[in-house]
Amino acid sequence: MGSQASGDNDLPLLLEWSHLGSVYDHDVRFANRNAEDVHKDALAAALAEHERVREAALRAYELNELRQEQERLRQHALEEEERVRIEMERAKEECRLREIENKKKQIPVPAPRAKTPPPPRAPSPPVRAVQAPTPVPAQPAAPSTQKPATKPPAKPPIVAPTQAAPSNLFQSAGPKPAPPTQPAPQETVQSPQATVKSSSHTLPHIERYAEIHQTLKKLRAMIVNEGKRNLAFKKKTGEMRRAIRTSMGQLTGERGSNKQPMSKIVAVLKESFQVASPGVDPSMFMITKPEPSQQDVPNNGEQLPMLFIYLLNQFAKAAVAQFVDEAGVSPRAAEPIGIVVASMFSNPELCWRGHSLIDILMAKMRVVCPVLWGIRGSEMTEQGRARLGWKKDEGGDWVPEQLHNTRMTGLGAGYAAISLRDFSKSRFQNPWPPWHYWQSMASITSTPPSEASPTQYMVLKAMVENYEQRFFNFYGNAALAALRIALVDFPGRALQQGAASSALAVLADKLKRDKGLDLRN
Amino acid sequence: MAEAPKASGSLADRISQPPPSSTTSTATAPSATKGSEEPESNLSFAQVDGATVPLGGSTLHEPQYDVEVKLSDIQKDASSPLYSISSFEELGINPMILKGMYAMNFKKPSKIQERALPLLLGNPPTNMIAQSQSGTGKTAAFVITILSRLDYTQPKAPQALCLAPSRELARQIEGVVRSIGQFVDGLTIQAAVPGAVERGAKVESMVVVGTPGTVLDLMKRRQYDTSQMKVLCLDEADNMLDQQGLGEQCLRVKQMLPSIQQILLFSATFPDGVMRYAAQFSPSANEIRLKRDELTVGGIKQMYMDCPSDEGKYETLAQLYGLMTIGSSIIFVKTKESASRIAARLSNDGHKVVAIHGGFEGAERDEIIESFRQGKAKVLITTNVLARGIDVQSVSMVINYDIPMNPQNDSQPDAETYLHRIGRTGRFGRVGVSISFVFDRKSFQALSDIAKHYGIDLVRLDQNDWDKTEEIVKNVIKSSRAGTNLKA
Repeated sequence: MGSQASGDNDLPLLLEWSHLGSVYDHDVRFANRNAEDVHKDALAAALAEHERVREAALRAYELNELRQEQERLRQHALEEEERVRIEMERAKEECRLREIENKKKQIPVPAPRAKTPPPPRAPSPPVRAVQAPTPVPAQPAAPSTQKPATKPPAKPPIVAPTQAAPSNLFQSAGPKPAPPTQPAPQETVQSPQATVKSSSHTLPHIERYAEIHQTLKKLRAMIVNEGKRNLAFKKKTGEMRRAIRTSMGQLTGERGSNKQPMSKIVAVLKESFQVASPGVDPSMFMITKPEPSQQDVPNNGEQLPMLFIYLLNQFAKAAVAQFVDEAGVSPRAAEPIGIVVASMFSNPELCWRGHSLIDILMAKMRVVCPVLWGIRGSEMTEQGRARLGWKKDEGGDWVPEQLHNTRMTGLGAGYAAISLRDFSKSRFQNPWPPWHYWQSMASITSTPPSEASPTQYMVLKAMVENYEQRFFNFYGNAALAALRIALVDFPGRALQQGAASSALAVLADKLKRDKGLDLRN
Repeated sequence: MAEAPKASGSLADRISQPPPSSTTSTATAPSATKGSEEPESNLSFAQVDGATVPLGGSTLHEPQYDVEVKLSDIQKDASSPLYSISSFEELGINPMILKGMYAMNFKKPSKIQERALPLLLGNPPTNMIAQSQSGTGKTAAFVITILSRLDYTQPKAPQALCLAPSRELARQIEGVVRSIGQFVDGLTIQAAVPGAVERGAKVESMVVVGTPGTVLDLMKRRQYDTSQMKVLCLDEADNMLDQQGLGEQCLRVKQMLPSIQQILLFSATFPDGVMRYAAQFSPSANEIRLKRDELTVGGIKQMYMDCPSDEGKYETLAQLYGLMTIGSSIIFVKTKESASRIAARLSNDGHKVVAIHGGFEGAERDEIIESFRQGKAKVLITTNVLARGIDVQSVSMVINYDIPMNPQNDSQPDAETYLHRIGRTGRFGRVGVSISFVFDRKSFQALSDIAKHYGIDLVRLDQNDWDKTEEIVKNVIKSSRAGTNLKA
């Protein structure tokens, strides 16, 4: 009877055979029939039977509860997944619309372009050739167009901005004619890339971020060129750049200890408004172009000083470098950097039309750590490594594995430090809200085992480690379900249990040991 | 950043190489080979390529189109001290210890670990004298050995002893034992440094990490039961055996361990004179040695700065932090006074600074080092106390504010100390920078003697044009990453 019961969880069945139990199994001989002992025995047996049935019922009830809870969680996870999917689709649609819009804007550009390119420039790569026309719309006057033509073919991209720059340097506020034309050629450069389709597992805007990254490189070249003509400007930008880098290096995890470096960075960034530099259209460095704000916000005009954007870019670069070099070895160092990043990019005085310029940093993150954007690749192939953001050294060889691991660890931790910031008590807007974190985690964990790479395991581990609590604070039970997938299911599916996937799984053990959180049940 | 590969030639070279392991794809289609010869010019191209990969469900799998990475690219330089082909699993390490290693982000054994661990873990236990460059994983190697030798049914009997020349180092090793052993059930660890064990209290941990003097005292007072001792390990062994007092103490400790099975000596340097003594201390040992010109790790980029005067050094120092990305840094100075003076000025400039020198007492020193290790302070200013062994992973710059000179003879440069100092950065294959300050004939001569001793080239930095210096430093760091990241 015992064996029969153990395998069975069904309540009605349990009750059915329970009557055959010991209740009627006592001594029924006449002499003893009414003896007290017999009576007591029968009572005890009845009690035991009652207990047994009750326990069985309770067990069945509990099981049912658990099942319902499980079902609820599963539903919840499904809903969440669905939500993310819809959100992503919506965002992608937006992206597509924007791209169409951009294309519309570009249409007029080709016309002047046909006139300008002087023959010697033909062999230069397309990217440069297209940039060359920049000065034309900017300065229709003949001399400026002539000048680049006389230069050797390699030079034009350098000459072009320098030509545009002086005219702007002396324009004060509201210079409408020149720079707005700049985004147009940039877009033409990128138009071939429009053919790059994002796969369904990649997050929106990846192409746009790559574009922004390229545009920033050009902006940097412009500043360098400006410095070649103007030594005082060069010295000043150098000092500002180094001041930002020094301050970023001074950050520590101690509460309240970062005031001095933070105010230094703000001061340097603000100072760039005082130094004369040409204006640029900030939307060149943003995913979406905001309309002028109806409220009284700082920087509501058409442009921002080029130097300001340059320094924001330097700030972003310093943050990423600090993630790579410092947080890669001690991931906790990412936290203060994330705080400063969120603080700078949410500061209204450093925003444009009330919108954060954090896309400048994200363009960089997108390039150095593509797996955060859902990009996949095999570490055993050349192209796969390139997709994963595995760096090459100067000799064109892949950097060693150890170095790559460290980089990815730092960047994963850095991304968590930026995206899991609590702005509920802040007057400012969160420049990179937590749903980005969720999105990245979802895109990584949804990788099929055959395409999953150690890089993904490492980035995921770095994103989760030390940030479990924050993640819970934002997402509650959903975070629990997500962590189960990230730390148990995803590494469990790995085709080969290597060090990277094992390290991810060990994180689950650590959570159990240190926080009493058992994800495996 | 996925920059463009420099030459398509090198790419073509790689194509001809068979796949290192046929786990994901067995064959590389010839057509695919052709396609990949087109210069993969930039990131956007990589993206195009990525997009052609069909999603799950399709029969076409991405590796068939992509070119396998040649093994020598994955592990470029076989002579690198971090080069290894095996994994920790293959070395047969206990899974619980392995878990701790993973939690610490160890992924693969380094060369010293790969070579030494099979010898260290083999039975019967054999002695070992091992030399390897700083920051290549010596500590982890002997900690794994110690944890593998313990009898876990005797949690209160000291079974392994690790000796280090300073309390900081002992504390650090204690930390490593705790980290690697974090998933090992029933492991007990204890430090035996001045002030850590109360008078009369018994030492009741399986692993003891300490300084020779304290350990010897504990044994003499019978607070330390040596009957179950199995492993004795000396870190920075040359330094311990070389110094009169320490060497004596080590020897007496050893004599009090009758049943010892395995004696391990580890260091980055083993001068010949010490080597003979070491062989007596650890008889019939396996030896892993390095040649003198293999001593410096290529990942540490060594530069020097021409300063206008002794006083002008500070201005230069303050500028250095803007030149490159720096996590933590250590500044070595000659005197306590200049340590305090520099600390005050750097703090004023917004740096979180701690200074440590012989003037501090034990517990205070522990605290200072701990705040540096945790990253609460990011600049550490110190006299020679710390030249050896201290491993703070995020140290990316070491500054010789004063060139190390021989303590017995101030006109002689101290090459060994220089090596140990710069070894505080560039840990485990990361890029680190060392910058030495020279300002007069004597300091210049001392530094060039050291450079000659190790056969290294020092890059000169200029403090007149910081833009230019920034550029030089950037290139130096880049080039040190280039291929020879760990030229042995």
